[in-house]
Amino acid sequence: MASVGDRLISLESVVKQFDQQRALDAVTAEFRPGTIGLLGPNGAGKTTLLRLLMGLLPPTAGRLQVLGYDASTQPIPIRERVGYMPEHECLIPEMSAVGFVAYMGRLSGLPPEEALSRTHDVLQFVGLREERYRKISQYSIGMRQRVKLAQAIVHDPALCILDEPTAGLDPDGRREMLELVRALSQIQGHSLIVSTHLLPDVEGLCDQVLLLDAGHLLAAGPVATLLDAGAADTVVRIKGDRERFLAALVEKGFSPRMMGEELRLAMPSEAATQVFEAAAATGTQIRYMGRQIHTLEDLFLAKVQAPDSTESL
Amino acid sequence: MSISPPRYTATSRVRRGRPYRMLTMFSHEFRRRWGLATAFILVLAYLALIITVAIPVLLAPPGGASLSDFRGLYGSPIWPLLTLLIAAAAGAGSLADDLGSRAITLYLSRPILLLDYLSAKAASVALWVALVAVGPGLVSVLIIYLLGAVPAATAFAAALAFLAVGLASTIFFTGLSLAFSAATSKSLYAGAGIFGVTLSLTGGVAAVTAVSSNPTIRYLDPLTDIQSVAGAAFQSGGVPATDPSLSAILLVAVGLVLGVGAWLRLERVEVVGE
Repeated sequence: MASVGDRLISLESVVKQFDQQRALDAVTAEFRPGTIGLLGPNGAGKTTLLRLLMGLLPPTAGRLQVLGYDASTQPIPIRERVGYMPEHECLIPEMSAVGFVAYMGRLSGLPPEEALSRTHDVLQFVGLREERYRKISQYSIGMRQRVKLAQAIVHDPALCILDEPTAGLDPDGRREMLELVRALSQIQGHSLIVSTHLLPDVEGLCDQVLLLDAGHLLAAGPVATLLDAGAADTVVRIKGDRERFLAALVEKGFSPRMMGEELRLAMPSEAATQVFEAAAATGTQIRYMGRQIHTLEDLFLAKVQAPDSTESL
Repeated sequence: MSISPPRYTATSRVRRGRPYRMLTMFSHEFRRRWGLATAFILVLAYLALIITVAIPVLLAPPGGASLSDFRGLYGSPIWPLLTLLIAAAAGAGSLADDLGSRAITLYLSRPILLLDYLSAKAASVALWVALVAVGPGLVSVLIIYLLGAVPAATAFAAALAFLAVGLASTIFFTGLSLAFSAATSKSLYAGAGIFGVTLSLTGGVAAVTAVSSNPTIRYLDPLTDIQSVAGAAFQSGGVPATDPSLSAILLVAVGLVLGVGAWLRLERVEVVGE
């Protein structure tokens, strides 16, 4: 077996071209075991990257390694060690949860008795103990999501790929699913890739992220490092003539940016006096001024607006 | 009282290989198709076809039954109808159901090659079709032999003939079922396609041959091909509508080509995502 070591996934200048469309453009990144958020809007290249990681597609150029195996030449060993929870409906409706999950376990190579005993374990873990003998066609969306999660972990994979795990869930269901995903990572010790366009979902969950947009890598690396890197901005909320205030700030040498109703300034904290002076000079009231609390959404928006500043940490 | 999150135990690292996974898919698929429709077709097939085979043999003068007396099965319209029914009932949904429910995503995200998946599905469909295309003939021969109506050599030759004709038919109908099942995500459409294409070819060829003297057109009718192969296998004499060897090759080749078509179609299916 290949040695995973410190590298869970390694992408080296990965390109995927579909006819005229470049789905992934020279993506290079490296991730250690942990929880990785694969983020980006629809069409960003997330699905293509998942297909490449599982060896379902060959890259046009570049190299991908998953758990120490080459995804182009060793897809079967990868899929033996990876669990996949698709976003869309994919269950066999006439089967019970027990029958279905045990079947999926056997398809991953588990002997029949072990597949069944594991099935009971994981169905209890996802909270379907009481309903496990009911037909899947009678399940709610939330219960189906749990069955999808159960089948992804039944064979005890080293890496689980979860594609939009909270899709279609109500707030309670979403919270419960995120708790399960967190438990998978923190209690069971699985490494995870969580692909989503809902950035808040992964913020408290992932320790590493890969941000994609239109096939381009926007940022990759540990969440804490990426968020700290851009944390020098100051947020200012004002009441008054915005245009005059902005002009006054520009006169004082600032480069203010409007983000919705908020004004953002890259400035050292000692420059605050100059901001107040500009406000006083223009008759503007400052309602709030403080350091920006960075979120992945801020990072994503900043990267989309300045796509050249690709970061790989 | 303390509350702790649920845990589950780690598995052993024992993993079984490709043959086990394929056998798992095959047995799942075979059991999945067992239902009221397939059970009814099987019972009807065995009752009707055994009677169809047995009567001419048992009514032959003592010691006078020959290999050609066993051919009654393929001369009867019941046999193609029941074979088509079982091909549609067991084969139409084999791939279409997985495409419709998108369960194919989960199959192919497992350590399974597309070829393994399709082979397991094809084996299941083939077994169902063979249960009607081959089974009643072999059971009839056994019953007739046990009743002492034919000598062992004739019974053995008849069994081989049933096996040869049945297997050629099984390959054709399996390929046909897989091709239609891969072409749609609705098993109803696939079933209609299996019936529609076979019966249209039979009807169309009959209509064309009525006005055309070109005998080559008859090769397009799979039921005529099966009749020709059966005529040769059971040494029934007479002039066959088509060359039996060519018809046998055609049935097997078309079945295999249709199977490859199903494989090509599945290769284009998006496995992950929308």
